[in-house]
Amino acid sequence: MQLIKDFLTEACAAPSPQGREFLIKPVLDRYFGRYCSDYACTGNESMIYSMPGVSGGARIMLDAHIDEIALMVSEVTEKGFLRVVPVGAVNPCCLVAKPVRVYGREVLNGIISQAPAFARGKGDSVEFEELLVDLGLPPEEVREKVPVGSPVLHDRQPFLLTEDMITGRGLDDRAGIAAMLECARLLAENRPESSVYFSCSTREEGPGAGALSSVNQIRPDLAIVIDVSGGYMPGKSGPQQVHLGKGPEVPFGNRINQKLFERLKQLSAETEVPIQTVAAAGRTGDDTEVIMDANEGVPCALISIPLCYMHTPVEVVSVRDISQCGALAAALIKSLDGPGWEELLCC
Amino acid sequence: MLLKELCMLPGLTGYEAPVRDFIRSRLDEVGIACRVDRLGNIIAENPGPADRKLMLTADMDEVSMIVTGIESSGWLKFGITGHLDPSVLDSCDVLIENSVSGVIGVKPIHALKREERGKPVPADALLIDIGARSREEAEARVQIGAKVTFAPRFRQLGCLVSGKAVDARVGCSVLLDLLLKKPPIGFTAVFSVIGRLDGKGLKVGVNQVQPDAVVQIKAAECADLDTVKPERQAAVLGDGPCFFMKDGGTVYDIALARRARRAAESEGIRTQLYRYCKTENYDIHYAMLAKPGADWLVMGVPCRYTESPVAALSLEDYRESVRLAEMLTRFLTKEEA
Repeated sequence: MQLIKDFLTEACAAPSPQGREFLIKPVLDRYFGRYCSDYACTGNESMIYSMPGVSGGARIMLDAHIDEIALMVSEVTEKGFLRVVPVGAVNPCCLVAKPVRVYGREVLNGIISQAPAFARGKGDSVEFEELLVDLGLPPEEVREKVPVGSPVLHDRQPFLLTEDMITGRGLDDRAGIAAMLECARLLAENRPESSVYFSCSTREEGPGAGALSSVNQIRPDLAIVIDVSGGYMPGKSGPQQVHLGKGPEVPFGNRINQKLFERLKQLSAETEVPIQTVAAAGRTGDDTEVIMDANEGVPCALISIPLCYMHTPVEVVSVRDISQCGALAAALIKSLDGPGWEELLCC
Repeated sequence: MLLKELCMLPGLTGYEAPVRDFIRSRLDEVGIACRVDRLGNIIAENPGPADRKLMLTADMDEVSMIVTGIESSGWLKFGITGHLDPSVLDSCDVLIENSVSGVIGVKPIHALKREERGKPVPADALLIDIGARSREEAEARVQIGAKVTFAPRFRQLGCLVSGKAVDARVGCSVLLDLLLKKPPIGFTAVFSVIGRLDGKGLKVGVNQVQPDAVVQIKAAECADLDTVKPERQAAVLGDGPCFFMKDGGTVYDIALARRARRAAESEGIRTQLYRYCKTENYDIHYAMLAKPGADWLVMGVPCRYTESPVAALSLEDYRESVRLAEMLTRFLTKEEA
């Protein structure tokens, strides 16, 4: 689990807003490079680290998205503040009185907030039009240093709340990337026959173009998608709540290949990795959506890591859940060694 | 300037000891005589001649929270001491008993109905997450009554500095800087407690010192943003320290403030008038009862995002504020009662 903690400590401190995911490539190179011999980049800048298998083995794509929720500068105001728009789904309530970094021609410290209560209009709702980023600089300098379109990210270092719980900006979906890394580590010690491609996919919070470009490049026989899912917190109601620390969530439903799901359940029992199964009636809302119907169709398995406070700067996950997710993915891949894996994918 | 050190310390209302100890140590180092009264105020003497009994004062405490409950799920309930806009609590970092980190996290956007987006969660529905997932796990690390502040952080951005308690401690910092310069006019400095609520420390300080004239130094909350009409901005960062005209309960001596501004101008110190009043602030209103007839000047260092983890002020305004405080000691000793 130290590998996961070390990786997240670096990754959650590095930027990867949608469209500029390559900014985090040095961190990915350093970690995936330990276990994967090959690297390729797609047209949509997804970064694919891979370990070749033997001929006749399956081609397996693992997918976790490397882009993170961000804001984008839409305007420099008369006084030299910045107006922003969200890139991905963001509740403006989480942007009041927060430290940020603005990635313009140089990286600048900033504060995003709204007007104080005494100066606001009636009503207490927070709106993007009322939020401003303060750089503490005169307007001419801001205009020179910050082009419209510059990404803005929360300025927050990751850290451990407990031995197991980690909090950090962008755990959605660096937790998934970390699980892929853990899987790579396990497979490097115990090489599968399959060729395994770890796709750090771009643009998941947008159209999913990164994952699609990876599928087109890899042409996998099946895909294992690793994303995060909303973990239980007090006040969250509804059936099928998943809890942090109780193991990865493994959904089933129309998006998921039934046999791969059954195999995951079986492996969970065999390896004593606890899982929380969840019936997903509709869409799963992640890269599965674009991978499943690419080209001739790709059978998908989905393993999710429970996460609290999604799309806010204070996301929290359990490191053990990530580790178990990686172990489960590795077990699934190893179980496809030998002849007969093709039958698994037939309906 | 010791503003960063002062801001990084925990100094909750009623529990100001870490800040008090820090200030006392700095005063002891340069041989400035000081004592601590029964409520916890520091009363220090700047030696020197003075025709009138002069008192300069600043609060030591910051807005804070206290753990009021531990849920069976492991999350913590809390109450707020002082006034703050609860919208700053959404997704913020806190520190409990200066050692246990926590986050105040809210339901993700995906779990909200459309009409719930953009609506701040009321403070009494917010919870602190310290990573515990059971009552037992939480109780092993935190007790009911545990003291909570925003997580300490101090950053520079452009010409500003920003962080937890920058607004709460700027008064102390200016007063401390002034004392360390050893200005020529004699005055009593009172670093007071319980400023965030209703200024009980200040009133007790005035009771003991019985000054002829008082200067209180604090932060002046600005709204100088493009989203606010100029007439509602109250003060402008960079235009120099503010003179307040009133608080929630009482009007100050505006003619005196204007004379002080003219005197400041003649020495090349920029000042402005604070053009709004925060109605929760009643500390002078009560403290005036302790010595009726004393002259009161309240000066504020312009500050944005007060009572939040990112309160910010301009270093240029800060320096002008120290110059102004020193000038006021000379100005007030010449003024007739």
